[in-house]
Amino acid sequence: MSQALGIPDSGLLFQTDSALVINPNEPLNKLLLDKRFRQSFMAFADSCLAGESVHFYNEVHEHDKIPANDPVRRIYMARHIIEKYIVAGAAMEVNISYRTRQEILTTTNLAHPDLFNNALNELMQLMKTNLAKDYWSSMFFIKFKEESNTRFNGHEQETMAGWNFSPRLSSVHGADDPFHQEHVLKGFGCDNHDLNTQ
Amino acid sequence: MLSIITQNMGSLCSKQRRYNEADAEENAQAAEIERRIEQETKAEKHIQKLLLLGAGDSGKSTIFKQIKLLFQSGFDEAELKSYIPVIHANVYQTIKILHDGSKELAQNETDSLKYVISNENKDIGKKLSEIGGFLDHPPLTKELAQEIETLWRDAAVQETYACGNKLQVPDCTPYFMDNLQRLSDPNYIPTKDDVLYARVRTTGVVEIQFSPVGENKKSGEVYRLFDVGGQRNERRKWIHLFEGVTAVIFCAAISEYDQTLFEDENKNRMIETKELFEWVLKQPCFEKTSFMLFLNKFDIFEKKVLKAPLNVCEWFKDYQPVSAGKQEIEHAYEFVKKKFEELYFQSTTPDHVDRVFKIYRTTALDQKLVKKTFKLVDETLRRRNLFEAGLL
Repeated sequence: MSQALGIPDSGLLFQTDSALVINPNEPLNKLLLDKRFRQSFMAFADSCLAGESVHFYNEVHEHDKIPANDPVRRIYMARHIIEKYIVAGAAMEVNISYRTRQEILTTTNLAHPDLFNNALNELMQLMKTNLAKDYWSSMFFIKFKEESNTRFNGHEQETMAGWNFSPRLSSVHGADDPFHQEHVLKGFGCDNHDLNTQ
Repeated sequence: MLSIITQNMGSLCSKQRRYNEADAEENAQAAEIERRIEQETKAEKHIQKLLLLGAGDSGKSTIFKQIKLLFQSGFDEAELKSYIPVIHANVYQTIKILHDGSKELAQNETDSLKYVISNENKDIGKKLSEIGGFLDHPPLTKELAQEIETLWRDAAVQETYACGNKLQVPDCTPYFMDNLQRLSDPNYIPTKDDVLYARVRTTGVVEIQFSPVGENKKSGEVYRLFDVGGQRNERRKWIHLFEGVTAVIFCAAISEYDQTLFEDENKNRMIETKELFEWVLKQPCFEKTSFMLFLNKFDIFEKKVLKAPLNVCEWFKDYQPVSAGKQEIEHAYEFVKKKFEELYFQSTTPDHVDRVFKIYRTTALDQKLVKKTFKLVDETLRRRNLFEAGLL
């Protein structure tokens, strides 16, 4: 929809070419401003069926880029977001409270710039407390770091030693998951080498 | 003469042969059983899929945490500390809900005066309400903890809490509010209980794999347990997990008969659970799946049921109290249990006649009780396994 409305490419929220140090102690909303991090985080969330929150975040930021003096585009974008994420039963319905949903659905001003603020806040809380922790110990983050490092040579690699590896999901789709072979589950006392048998 | 002897010998031999055959057959059967038991106990070949299902806030993730504590290596200090932001967020969000709720009740209720926060606390209230709405909460300092405690003890806030069922007040409220001093200590490390009480809505799917180590360590059962979000938007994701499920652990919070949904304040939580349970029972993939119904949050139920009558819930409208105190609590519990039993049988067809259905009274926060309950679940599933393998 953002392309259809001519919103300039979403990398950028914020792009940097300098060596980007992804520090898990940084607030998530700051980290999500980086396109590559956002994509990695989104892929992780999709893999454990929690992607809609991140997709919503993405599209709301697209929406926020539309200038205030262009209410028509705002309204189109707002309607699109509402149909896709807010309406009960929507394809990518997000996990927000009743009141926050009602505020949006009963608004008299679809062009309002703060229309999605409360929803975004709730979902950021959800992502922070629910998804972020698992992301740092996932293969997606490991891959992201490797890719960042090959792009910026000489950048010192942060040690992963401190982080326990505890996958959120070893397989939802069974054999589709290319990573389940490498998963090591914390001390559950039986052989690890054949996790995908059914 | 010889022919008679040979004939008799022949029949004798054949009788013996029949006994030998019978022995041999028994031996063969025993060997076969041995072999199959061995096969069944090979962990790699038999991962059993368990699903935790239920409406939002029913206790699924708490059970999940308990299983992690019981059967994996538990929570180390790093993991305990990782819950500090969550616990602090719970505190800030809760006091905000109570403060904002008191203002709302002060506007809408007939006896509105009792919900008006005292003058000296009004500023604290406003400040805490604002902080509660931030994305990033400030660290919980002793000063802030003191202010939160002051507001919590305000009469209007206590009145608001007393009718918390009208608002979305989390169950962990009194626990965290009574421990504010400890939670705000600069060197605070959450206890296991703090982690169990911490409230985080689950989104998407999480799983763990574990092997319950029993007295018979050779048992080799391996379980893969899936936890999911319970709100309506999360349920569309459940379908991805429905294949090949050994057992569904369905959590129903029996204390919620007077509350409404987080995602729909016009819907009673108990009715939602009833409808959800019916829906799950009727899923074709679960035709042979065992159902373990956890009637959860009994600790809250037993306190509530003597104050708020069960029949505020449409499903329980025919409830008649018969006594008082502990007896009445038991009576109320049995009534609810019976309702769920009736619901189960109404939702099953002759196809389901072999399906295992067990009900357990649980308090997911109680580690001993969850351990005991899970042991029973495990026994039931093992027996079921053997039955299905034709060994029982």
